[in-house]
Amino acid sequence: MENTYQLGPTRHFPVAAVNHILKDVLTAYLQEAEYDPEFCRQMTKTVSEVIKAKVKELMIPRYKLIVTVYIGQQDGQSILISSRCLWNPKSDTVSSYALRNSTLFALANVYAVYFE
Amino acid sequence: MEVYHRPCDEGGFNAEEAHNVVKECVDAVLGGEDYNHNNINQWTASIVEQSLAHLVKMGKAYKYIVTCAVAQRSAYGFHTASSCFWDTTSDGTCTVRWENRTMNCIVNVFAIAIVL
Repeated sequence: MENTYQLGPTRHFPVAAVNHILKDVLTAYLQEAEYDPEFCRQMTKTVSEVIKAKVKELMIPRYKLIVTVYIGQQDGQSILISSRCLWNPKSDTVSSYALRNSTLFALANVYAVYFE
Repeated sequence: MEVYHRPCDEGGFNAEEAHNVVKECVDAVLGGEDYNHNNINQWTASIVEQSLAHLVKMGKAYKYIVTCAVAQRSAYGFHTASSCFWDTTSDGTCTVRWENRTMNCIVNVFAIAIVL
């Protein structure tokens, strides 16, 4: 990739649109699902690929994407997931959505990093 | 036409070094501790912040995203997957899994090269 001689991105990452994508994908795949080890193992991989493909369709130039998906059984146990990032806050951002149903919880994060 | 040479990334992200650095941080924060609901907020924050500080000290030109999931150990299922859209020659990732008698901890590090 070449030097653009620009100071920042021409098009910023649309966090709201990506939030909608995450919500749609997670509800479509997991709202009615029951926790099952094999099914969820496959689902985490599938869901992360689907989210990545949909966000790529938005065609935001010069943004690199990292999609992480966590799915776990909801059984009264406690879990805490946190993240910190060292980046340029003017151009880079994160989008996240969490879903819960009676047997499982799912969390999807999309980190978008501008290629400087 | 000018050929733009990127500064040498020393063959991409050094996952092994990052793995060792992060493992030390997790051992320092969680080693010898039992799961305690009051403290996990503080522990995850320390793990992530210390890992980030150590990674930055390595002095490489990278943006970092560090995520940490700490869960109580019980008979539950937990899956995580991630999918990335980036430049595989310069960017990389590393995952550290750590556990003791009462809890499980997973730390993911994503490093994206900055081209100066």
